[in-house]
Amino acid sequence: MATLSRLGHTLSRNRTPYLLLLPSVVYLVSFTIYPILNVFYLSLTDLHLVKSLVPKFIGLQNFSDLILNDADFRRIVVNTFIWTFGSTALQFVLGLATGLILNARLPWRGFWRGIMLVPWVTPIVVVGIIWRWIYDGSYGLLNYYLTTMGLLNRYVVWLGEDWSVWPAILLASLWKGYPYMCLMLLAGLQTIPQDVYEAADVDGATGFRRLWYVTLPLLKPVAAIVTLVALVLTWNNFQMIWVLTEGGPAYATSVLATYVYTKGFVFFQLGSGSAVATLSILVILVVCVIYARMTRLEEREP
Amino acid sequence: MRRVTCLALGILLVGCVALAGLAEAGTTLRVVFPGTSETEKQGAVRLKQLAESKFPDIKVEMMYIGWPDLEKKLSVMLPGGDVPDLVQQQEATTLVAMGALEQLDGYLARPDSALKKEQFYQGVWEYSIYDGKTYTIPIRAISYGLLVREDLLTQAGMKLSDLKTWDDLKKAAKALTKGNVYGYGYPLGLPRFAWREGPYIAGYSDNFDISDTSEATKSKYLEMLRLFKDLQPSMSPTTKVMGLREAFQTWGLGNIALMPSGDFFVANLYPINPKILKVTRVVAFPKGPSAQKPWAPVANVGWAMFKGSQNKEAAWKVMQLFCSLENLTEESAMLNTPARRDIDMGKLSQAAAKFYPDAVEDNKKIIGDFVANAHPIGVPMRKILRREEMEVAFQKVMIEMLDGKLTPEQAYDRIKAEIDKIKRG
Repeated sequence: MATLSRLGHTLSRNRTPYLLLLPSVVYLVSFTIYPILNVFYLSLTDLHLVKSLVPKFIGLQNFSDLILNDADFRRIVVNTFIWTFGSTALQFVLGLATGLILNARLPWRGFWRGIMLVPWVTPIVVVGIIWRWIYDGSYGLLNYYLTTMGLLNRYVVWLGEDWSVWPAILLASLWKGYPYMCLMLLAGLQTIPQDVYEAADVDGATGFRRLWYVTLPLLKPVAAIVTLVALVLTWNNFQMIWVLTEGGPAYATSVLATYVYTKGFVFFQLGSGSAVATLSILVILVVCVIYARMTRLEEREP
Repeated sequence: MRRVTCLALGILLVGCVALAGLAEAGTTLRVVFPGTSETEKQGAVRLKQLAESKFPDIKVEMMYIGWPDLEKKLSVMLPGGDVPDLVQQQEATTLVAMGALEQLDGYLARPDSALKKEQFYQGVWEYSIYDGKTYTIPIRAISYGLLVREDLLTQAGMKLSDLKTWDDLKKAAKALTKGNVYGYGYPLGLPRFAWREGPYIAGYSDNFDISDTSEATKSKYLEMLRLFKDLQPSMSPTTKVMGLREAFQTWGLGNIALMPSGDFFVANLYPINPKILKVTRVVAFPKGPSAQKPWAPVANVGWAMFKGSQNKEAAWKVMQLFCSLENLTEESAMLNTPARRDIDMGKLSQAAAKFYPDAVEDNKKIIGDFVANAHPIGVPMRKILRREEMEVAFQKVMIEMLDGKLTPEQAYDRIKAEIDKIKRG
């Protein structure tokens, strides 16, 4: 009772700031918290639009069906990890390399920094369509140039062969996503004090040793945050895969985000689709926590 | 007191203005119009103008949407209580199962109804009936057949009339596979087409429906799977990633010689390469080994009314207008074969010239081929509940079979298991 009265007192004393916060809170509750809670609730029901519009509570059955009986689901989880970690790792490596180059004293440095952003600011659907044409098995530019150069003796269906489909998708994702990584790492690189490098020079550290022992440790806080953001964004990235392959052939390139869509809006299994979404949220949360622990993100908070 | 009076007057004023606005607006009909081509988009604009000029008290709000997104969009709108009035539908099984559509038999039985069942081709009309009840009014027929590059067939020493059996088909596909040309086109890359643009049509030509996995159809199912295995050497290496759009593009570039498809082919091919229509003909998909005579799948596109519509009388008036002889002559000219028997083919050809000016005669010839095909051997396509799930499962197995990972017998067992599981689930 005393706590409630204290709360009421605080609210009435600080009415204006709380009122100013109210629109944001209402927005968050309506468009983020409520939908997430509703997805959790639906995942415990058998809602299937073709069968009945009234959801019936079935406990954890959707989850057990997915984990125990759905062979596609297991493959899709593996695909999601390949997609997320493969994409993020490649983007980090290329983003760091580009960031180091663009941090150096280059002629026309502003121009190169600007042009590097082009893939990032191009709409993802446009990027996907362009790459689909590049990879086309009959008329694609990649096949044309590789055969012209004598590196291939027959056209390859890049998005249709088991061995080439993931490298092809990851390459397209790398091209689209590395500028963001580069931009963030470049900002991090610019915060490293010059005197640290001067001290390293005095100690005789040059080239790779300077990168390994000075740049990377000092870049670690920024790198950890940026890769965490990239992991979450890639985990939930639906458009690139959808435009390139629609998750196919069959489920060969499906990830959890595309499977949620297929289950919910192609098969109308909203209960089961919500279970996939719930598992997806839980897995990425666990991944984020493990990652934060590994990189000791929490210790860097002020 | 004065403040309260002012507030009450204010609310009254706003209410009056809103009511006046509503009275002036009359009825607003929300019409969902799916399409994938620019021609269809123009058709939506034309229908809106037609309805508003005929019924000045009705405003039509057209919601234009791509065919693949139609059911997905409605599956979100309807449970949320956002119910439009009319929708153009190709297959209404899902919406009927959801209880979303109005049954139309009562409207058709009215003495003043301008629409009668007898005005339509029987096979086409039957496709609008679900469990004995009518849910859509057909506006266009969709019939399926085998597209043939007649010029290449002639060069290979064969005639259209030689394509009678599956053996003839295999022989032709093999003979026509030369250089950049592949004898047989199969858009296996997307589940919908992996199911329909090939196996479903082939199954019908052997007098069975591929969603039927009963013991009675097992031998026919195996015949169909073996046919595709045998045709595989005549297919493009890109088959596994080819959707229908890519298949049409490849046809337009002259790289496929035989391919089953529907009569929406002209509308899709014309913007790519109208000249290819000159050398394209359509025949019934050759007869399967177990069939006396082949069936050609026939479906329709029709107008349906939503059960939750608040403007059912206005919606029925507009539906009758949209399905009138005059309007459907124009619409059939734009896309597909006619659904109404009383459409004059001469007038239809004249109207088609507006949409296909560079291929007037070729379009007429192809529509003629489809009509000649559909009416003697046309059999309505089965309405398959949860077909979308079956399509994905089917595509997966077909890919494995054509990759050489499964024999047709193993593929059959897998397909049967998957389809039976979906039916039970």
